[in-house]
Amino acid sequence: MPTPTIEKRRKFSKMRRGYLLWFLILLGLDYIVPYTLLKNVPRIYGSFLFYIIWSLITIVSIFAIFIRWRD
Amino acid sequence: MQIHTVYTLLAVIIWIIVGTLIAVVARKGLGKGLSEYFIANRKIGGFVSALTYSATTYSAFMMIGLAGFAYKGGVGALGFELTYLAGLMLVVFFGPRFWLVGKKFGYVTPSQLLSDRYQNKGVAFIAALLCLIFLIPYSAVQLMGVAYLMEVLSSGGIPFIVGLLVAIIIAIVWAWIAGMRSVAWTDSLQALVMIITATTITFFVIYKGFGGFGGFFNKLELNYSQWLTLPGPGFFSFKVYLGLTLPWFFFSISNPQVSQRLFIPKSMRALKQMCGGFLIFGFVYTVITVLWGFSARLLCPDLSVADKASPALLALPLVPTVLGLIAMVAIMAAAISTIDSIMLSLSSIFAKDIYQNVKTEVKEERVLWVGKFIIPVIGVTAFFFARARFGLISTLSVASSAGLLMMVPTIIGAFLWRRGTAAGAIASMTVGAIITATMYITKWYPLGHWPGVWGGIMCSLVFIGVSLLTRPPRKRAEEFIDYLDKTLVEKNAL
Repeated sequence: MPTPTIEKRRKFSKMRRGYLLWFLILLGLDYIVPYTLLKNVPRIYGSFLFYIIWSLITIVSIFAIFIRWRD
Repeated sequence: MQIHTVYTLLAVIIWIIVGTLIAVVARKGLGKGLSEYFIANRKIGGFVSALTYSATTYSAFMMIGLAGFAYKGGVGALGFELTYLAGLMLVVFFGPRFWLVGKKFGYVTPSQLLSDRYQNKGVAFIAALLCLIFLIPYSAVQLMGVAYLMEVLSSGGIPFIVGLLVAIIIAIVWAWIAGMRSVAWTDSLQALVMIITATTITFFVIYKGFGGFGGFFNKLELNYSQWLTLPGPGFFSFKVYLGLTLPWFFFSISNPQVSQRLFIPKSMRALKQMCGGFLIFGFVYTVITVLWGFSARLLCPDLSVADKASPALLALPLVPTVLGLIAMVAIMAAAISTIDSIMLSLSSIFAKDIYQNVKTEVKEERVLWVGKFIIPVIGVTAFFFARARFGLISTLSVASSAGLLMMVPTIIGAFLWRRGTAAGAIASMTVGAIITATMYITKWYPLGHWPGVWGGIMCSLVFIGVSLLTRPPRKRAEEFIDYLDKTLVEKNAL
């Protein structure tokens, strides 16, 4: 029977992998979307708005991790 | 707008007096010892940590270089800088690790951490050398930016050399007075000046020049629609975008003046506030700076050099003299807050990772004395580099983020890979830095990809390959990583 700490470590390791995957997806979108889907959208709601929304989603994802830190 | 020399000087003098007073007040709390001087004894609160982190990270590059990128290349500038901000993804993983081992093992510099983890002084020596080679030219270019700006805005009244002298003396004095304390406190003032000024001027120009955001965006879509796409007018090809963003994404852990700040918060709560504060600051400052560049595109469309976008915008009749002066101080603040942080960081690296490694039996007071002595030496070196205006200086400055990227496999390996070795670290940093610097100097970009991309691939492969062929410091690796595994769970950090 694993101790609570070991169980927690496993949970953290799983979360770490989950966030890593999510961040890789976000970075992939950053490089792909403006050069493909939005390449021919010369409007403010094209790449400009994409980067703003992409950045806000990234910031919220980062907040979700560090907001849990405790002393 | 013709800004008179006297007004320019007056604005600079007021800023110097206020900053110096803050630095002197910061000295009152100064205790003894290396850790106290270089990392404020790990006792900085969340608010000041966030502001010093922001001011150190964002240099004069933002209002000069990034605005120029937006002017020349369009919306790719926004993507580039926001990708850099997204590099905080690394801080939420590595920030608590830096902070925890820093506290546990008493590290003052990031290269000291690497040297202890890999149990080899050569690792610290090579890491320190990379920092000195790439960051002194970077500081020199920042100094040149300040001097040019003062010269232009005073219509030649303040010569280039005087601007250089003023900038370097302020940076040395503010760093020297109370080390990290004076740097962090003056950085806080400068960060506030930077963000408030940039926001005020951008809103002012957009409302005064275009009648509001609606008019601004309409005009942009109508006249410069290509600037709203990628690759846009041509500058931001995919390879350029990748070459620029890759080193900058890793900036938060590769640049010592920034990663050393992961040692300074007084608690996990302060570290948390530092991350949150920086994210908000960075997002606002980036968007504002890009809008500034776009405004210059619309209002001053015929500039031959994109880096003149900001000075040209500030020189327009619609910008009142007082705002122009405050903007000049804000750009100087951005440069100085980066230069003094780099000087302090490099002096701690020189004292701890070079001097103390050579003279092992030396007392802490002596190491601190060497560190303090080296601050003006680094400053004077940067001053002479800036004065000489060597072409190589700007090349090394551009190469700085890519050059420091070569430390990243060694840093990540220290925290996550027990099998990493000192030989792997030394070989990786050396090979990566030589490849990157050579490519930048010879301008040889195989398959069109930038040196940071090739150097990054090579140094990662060398780190893994050489580490697998050599013996790791198992005992230290286990102590280090096991401590982190255990403590991170307690701190609820991933």
